[in-house]
Amino acid sequence: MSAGVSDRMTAAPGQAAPARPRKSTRSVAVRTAVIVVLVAAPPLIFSGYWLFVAAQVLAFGIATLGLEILYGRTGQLSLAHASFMGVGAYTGYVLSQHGYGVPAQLGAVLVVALVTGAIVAVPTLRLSGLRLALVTLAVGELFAWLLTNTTGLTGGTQGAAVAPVVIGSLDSSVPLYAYLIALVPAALATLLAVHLGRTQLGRRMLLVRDSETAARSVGVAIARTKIIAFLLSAVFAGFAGWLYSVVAGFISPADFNLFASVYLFVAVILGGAGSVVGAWLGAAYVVFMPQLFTLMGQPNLYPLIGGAILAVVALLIPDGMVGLARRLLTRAQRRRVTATEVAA
Amino acid sequence: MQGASNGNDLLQVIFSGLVTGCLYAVVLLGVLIVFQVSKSMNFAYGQVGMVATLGGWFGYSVLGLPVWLALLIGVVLAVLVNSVIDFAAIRRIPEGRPGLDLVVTLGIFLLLTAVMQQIVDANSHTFLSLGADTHRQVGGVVVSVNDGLVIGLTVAVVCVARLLLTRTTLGTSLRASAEDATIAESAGVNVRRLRTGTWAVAGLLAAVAGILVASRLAVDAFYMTPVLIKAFIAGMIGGLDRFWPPLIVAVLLGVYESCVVFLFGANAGTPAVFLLIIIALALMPKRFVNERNEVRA
Repeated sequence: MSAGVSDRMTAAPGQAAPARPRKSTRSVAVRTAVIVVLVAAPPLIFSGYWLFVAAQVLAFGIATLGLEILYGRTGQLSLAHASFMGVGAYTGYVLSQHGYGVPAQLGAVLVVALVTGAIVAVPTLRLSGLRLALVTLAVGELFAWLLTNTTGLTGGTQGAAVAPVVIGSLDSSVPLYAYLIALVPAALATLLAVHLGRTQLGRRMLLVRDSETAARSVGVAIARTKIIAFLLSAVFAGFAGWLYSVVAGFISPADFNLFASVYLFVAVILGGAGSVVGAWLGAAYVVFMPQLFTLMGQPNLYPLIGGAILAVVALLIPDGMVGLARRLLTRAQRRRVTATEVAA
Repeated sequence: MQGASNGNDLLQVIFSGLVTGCLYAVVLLGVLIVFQVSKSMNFAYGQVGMVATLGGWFGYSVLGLPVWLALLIGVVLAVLVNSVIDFAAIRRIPEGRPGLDLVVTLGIFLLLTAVMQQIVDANSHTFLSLGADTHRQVGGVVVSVNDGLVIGLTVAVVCVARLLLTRTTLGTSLRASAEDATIAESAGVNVRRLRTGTWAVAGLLAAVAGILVASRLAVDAFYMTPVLIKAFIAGMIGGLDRFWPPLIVAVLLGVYESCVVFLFGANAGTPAVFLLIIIALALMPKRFVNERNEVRA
């Protein structure tokens, strides 16, 4: 029932839903080429350590996509997203300590992420804005407390070294293989996020973000939509955390604290909330920039600039880099159109 | 005999919780008055107090300024920073973007922390004790001069705020613009100036709270964050558009925390407080979590 209603919502009144304009084969080819180049570039340009960093971008990209679904599309502010990454990372770690292999780890990450996601999602259904932020912050602090007080199991504040993962002949302690291992879930997550934008569910999320009243009035099940968004984001974050632990080879509570969650926000806002490309740009920023600042010998400048960027971008370009690029592009196109008109 | 000493212990615990709760209340008061006029939350508010205190510490112990001058500069700095946060950021948040005030102030939170770490350092420093080591026995409870200072200042600040809000024209204009800024404006209230003034006063409160907290613990770039989070928690439970309930919750939260730590050890404080907020917000009747007045928060 809600499906039919929101179908009509998207079409202009008194007009049949327009068929999606078929993208020209050329633009599809260009896009594919750009993606292939971007994916193939890191192993060709980088080697050793920087390839590990590129693999971390892939892990963070999955987490950013999760937050993008939750905040960018559904409008739910969560300050526990890094904690969900931690849930995935530590679930994998504990299982690997007990000798379980990759399939068991991944299965457990999925289950634990779903369960913790549901535990957080249900009480937050009636909350939004600051209250939601505060409850998720409390969840994050509880998780951090749990980590530091279960030293025997998780390594506590000292952190823990994660054993490399071996899939077939691919060993995650080899930079190139780590990158390849990370590439598969990253591609899956991206496809899932892109596809979600084309589904009823994806459109319902946008409506819940823009106006709960409007969503309710057209029969969107708000609670269900929010819970699904929470669960999806928790699963994305869980797998991202697991991937990060495998690629980085070391995890500690500091990787998954409040600041880590805020940086994930920086990634989503900077890239452009509500955009898959933006999520990837943001993830690349939050992984590469601290490395670059450390390389320049100014590691303290990163949080300073990160804070400034978060505030300035959120205020001045709320659609992030993607929105900015889109705006510039349409302006350029319009100018070109007027130029040709004048010429004619 | 044993029972009496246990009773005294408990009394002491409740008293120290009361003092901590007072500090939460002072911070919360700043949050409340800002929420009244701008319907927005400032995540960087604790860091405003941190700027005052760490700046003051830097002034008297590194730059060698007289203590009063260093603290004065710190307080002025806090007032300026808080006013600038409103003027440069909060006021410019476009309508209809829920949660953007939180995101923006999270950015300012990072920025202030990083700036102070860059200027001063990332270490923890002992601050002026302000009488924390001068004790006296009052009715079986050990009270320090600092405790008295905290309680006295809290009571004074809260009472002055209450009187200002209810008994003066200024308070009436303030409540009017909180109710509906457009109508207040047309009735001749200078809403903009009022708003700037409120943010400045909130900056002052943050500085006072920051200095008091530092005198009891120590000062570093993060020490105000737990205090702010607890003030927020009390505000959430008590309601941000009320006056007495949230402030009383703030004081009780301090007592609750202190009792939990006394009963279950220092490690239990954090989970006890955070579980409380999760349970409170999840189970509270719907009308208490009504967000009608918090369109932007």
